[in-house]
Amino acid sequence: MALALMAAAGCAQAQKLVVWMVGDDKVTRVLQPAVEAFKARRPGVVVEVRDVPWADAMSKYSAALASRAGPDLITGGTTFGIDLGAKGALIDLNQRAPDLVRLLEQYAVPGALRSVRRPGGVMHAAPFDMHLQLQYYRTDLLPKAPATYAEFDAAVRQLRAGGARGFAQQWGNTSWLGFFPYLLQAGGALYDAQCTKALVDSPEAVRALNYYASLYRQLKAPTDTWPDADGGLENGAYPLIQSGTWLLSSLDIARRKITGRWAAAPLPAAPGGRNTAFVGGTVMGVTSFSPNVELALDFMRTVYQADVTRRMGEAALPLGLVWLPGGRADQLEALPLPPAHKQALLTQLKDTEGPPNCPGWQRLSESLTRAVQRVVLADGDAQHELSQAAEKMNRALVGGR
Amino acid sequence: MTRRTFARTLRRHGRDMLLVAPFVALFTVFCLWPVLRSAWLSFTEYHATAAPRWVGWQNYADLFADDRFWRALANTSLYMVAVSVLAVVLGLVLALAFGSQSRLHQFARITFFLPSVAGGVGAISAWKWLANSEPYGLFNSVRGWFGLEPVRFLGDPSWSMVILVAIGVWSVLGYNMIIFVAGMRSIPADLYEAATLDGATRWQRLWHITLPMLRPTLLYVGVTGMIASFQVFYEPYLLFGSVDAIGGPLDSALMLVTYLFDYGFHQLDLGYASAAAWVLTTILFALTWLNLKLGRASEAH
Repeated sequence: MALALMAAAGCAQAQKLVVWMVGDDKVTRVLQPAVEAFKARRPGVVVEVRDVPWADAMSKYSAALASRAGPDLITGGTTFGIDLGAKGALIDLNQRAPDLVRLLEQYAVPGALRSVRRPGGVMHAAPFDMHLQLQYYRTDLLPKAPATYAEFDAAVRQLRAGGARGFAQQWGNTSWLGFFPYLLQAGGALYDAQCTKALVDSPEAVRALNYYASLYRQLKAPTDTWPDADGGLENGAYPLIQSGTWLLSSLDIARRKITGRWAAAPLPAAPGGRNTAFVGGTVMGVTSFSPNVELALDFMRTVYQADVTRRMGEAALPLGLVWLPGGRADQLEALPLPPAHKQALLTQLKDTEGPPNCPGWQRLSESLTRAVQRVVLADGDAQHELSQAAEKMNRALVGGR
Repeated sequence: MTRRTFARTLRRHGRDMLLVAPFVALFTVFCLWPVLRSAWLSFTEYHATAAPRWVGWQNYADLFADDRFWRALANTSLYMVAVSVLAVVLGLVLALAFGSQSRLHQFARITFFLPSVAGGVGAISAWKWLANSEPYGLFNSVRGWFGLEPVRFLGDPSWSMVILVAIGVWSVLGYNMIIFVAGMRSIPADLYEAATLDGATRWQRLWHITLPMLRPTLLYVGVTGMIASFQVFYEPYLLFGSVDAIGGPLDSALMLVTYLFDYGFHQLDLGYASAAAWVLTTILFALTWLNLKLGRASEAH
């Protein structure tokens, strides 16, 4: 009798879905509209959402993976999602939820989607939120944002001649990430479409790296890993900077002195016309050890519903965040952002690309960063350094470390 | 051991064994087992998502073939030598200068000891502000007063080690000073009195009494300082690292622990990271052994 009662109690116990999200407690509050919508559909399910600080994310996730216990769903950086998927920690959405993949094919930001889709269609995670590179400039010190490389060069020289320090890149400065958009703008690529060959030693890549290095050698951009570019924007040292879309919300909070005196713009275009920006952010996936895979997939379907996505974006604004749904680009138009900011964002979104979808890239990115830094910081030869990086990347593609 | 002698031992030491049992259990579960497990993992390919796969010495071969590992080892060794030597020498100088019980010396000791208790992420953030590469960074502001151009302290590879060593020495200097002051207080005063009567100068007293009598303290400070500085992690990680370039400009701030952290927790290559950890452990073991050997030899002398 007692056993029967215990069994009945066990059956009656509510199903529980555990979601781990990288970031601070604000990210969990952004997800609340999705949690509420999901609970309305599945009243008996308890959804527990926990934030995992970026600094601890890798160790916490790896501990959970090693013990094969932990969250049903996770969010993580784009490359981390790809790498975890490649290691078998996340289920293949293409196989388990083709309807969700079709939805993402229709609405996700193409560059963000390409980043999480392996050659052959395997997809271990879906774009969740995104950030992309934009130009920010002081409207009182620069009449308009440069739209081409030539205009950019002239603007920075003019600013420097006027006593300012000129231009600063913040996100990815002097690393592969900072160089990446210039590589694509020049018509280059990191790998071929099937991830069988590294292409970083192409003539386009060499040209791009030489141009990127000229920002530091000739235009004297700061070389710190993360320069105080927004501080420089505020005090006028750097009236023109390149950083992520998080500044759209944080500048008016953290840099109040320049409220109303700054604007955002798409990146300047290369001579070929491309102005590709890097798109990063987080992805969402279902862990392969989750006992509630179907439930977790259903939660993901809720997250990517148009009205839910829109409410998540709205929930972020009072928290001082700009939450850009990488999986529902169609909802960006509805975000209550200032029109000028939205315009810059939507224009730039037409040409964005995320990190490559090739397994092992997270490890190999260091070899490209080193090539970039040797050219920028140690006057290395672009062709030589990129050839060495390509050699290492190719070696890894055939199984080497 | 026969059953009878075992029973006798148990009778005699049973209570002692019971008292140390909790520690032994905790030590075994949380120290010994993880260490042994990591030794085994270092011979496997392990990404936390599937069972480890035995690869023999491959991780070690890959490690020794990686020029970034050698760069990390060279950086760490340079950092260790610089911080250990400077922190010992300057700590000793401070102990000699502020070793008395006067209020001024007590205040000076408190001041120099503060960094040891105020370290951590907050202190590194303050250093980041001090060493800001822009003209409004404090160091560069001071340079500006003398008409000097700003220096890119956090963006120029040639400055990375200078900044890291400065922080490393700053954070342990006060601690070393306190240990030296305690060591000096334990030196019998009559030795100094006798030497003074014999006409020994201040310098001779220092060279022939203070330093030889401080040898065990010097050894302790030296060994613990070397071990701690060889494990440096959060200073370079917070000052120079980013997700896409963990070693700072041209890997000038890449240290062994940052290197293994990157492989272990960013890339989930736990077998390879375990191999790096064991190389680090072996180096630390060898350094400690060498220090103790030298200490004992000089003691005997």
